[in-house]
Amino acid sequence: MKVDHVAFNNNHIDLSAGFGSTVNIANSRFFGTSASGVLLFGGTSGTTNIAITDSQFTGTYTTFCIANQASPGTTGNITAARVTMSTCYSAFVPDDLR
Amino acid sequence: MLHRNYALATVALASFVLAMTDAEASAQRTFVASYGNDANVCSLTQPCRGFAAAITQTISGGEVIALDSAGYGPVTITQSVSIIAPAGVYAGISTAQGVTIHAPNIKVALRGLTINNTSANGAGYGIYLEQGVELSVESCVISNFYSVSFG
Repeated sequence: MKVDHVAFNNNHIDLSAGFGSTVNIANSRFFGTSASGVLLFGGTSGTTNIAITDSQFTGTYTTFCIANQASPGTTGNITAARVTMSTCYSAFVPDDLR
Repeated sequence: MLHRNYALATVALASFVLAMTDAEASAQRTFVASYGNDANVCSLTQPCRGFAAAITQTISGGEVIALDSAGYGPVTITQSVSIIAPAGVYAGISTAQGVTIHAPNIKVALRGLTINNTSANGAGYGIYLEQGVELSVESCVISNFYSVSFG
């Protein structure tokens, strides 16, 4: 999947991905999220990959900007380059911090 | 007499085939507009009013194009298709469930759309797709949903 020049405004979870999908996000903005900007949830199987470049996250202090919450038995990989994250409760939640 | 019956049958068959062609997807490129009508064939000169009607007139791998600014309604996609709003055209989908993609192994592109949840509780998905879909989302705005879900 490809997400380019997309603005996400005031969603609960701006973008969630799992089940072995591959998502490339570029030049996008995530504003006013109430839970997570980008959430990798894993699903029931597979390796889910998310790559984020040149994007901006602005949370609401209760938000995980980027969270890797791959389900047990699945693998989740997230990479981020040239990404700005502000006013999030946590900027980046890796899988092993759950 | 036999020749006359044969001619009548031929005409009837031709009419039936034409009618079927009208009712089925037949165009590589279809159009929607604020002044369109879903009873139209979704051509440039006879655009449809909503994305859902236009997709039924579009062949797999074809394109649905918004001609002017308007709301074009939610859509469920089951074939490869591109939905395109050119720069300067506001193509809105204002609903509790924006774009649903329900078929594996298809390619879908969404360009220039504004997908906005108008329900009070913010539930529903701006874009929801099943596994196996190759999706490209470009230059869109997605607001006030529970989520956009891939996979």
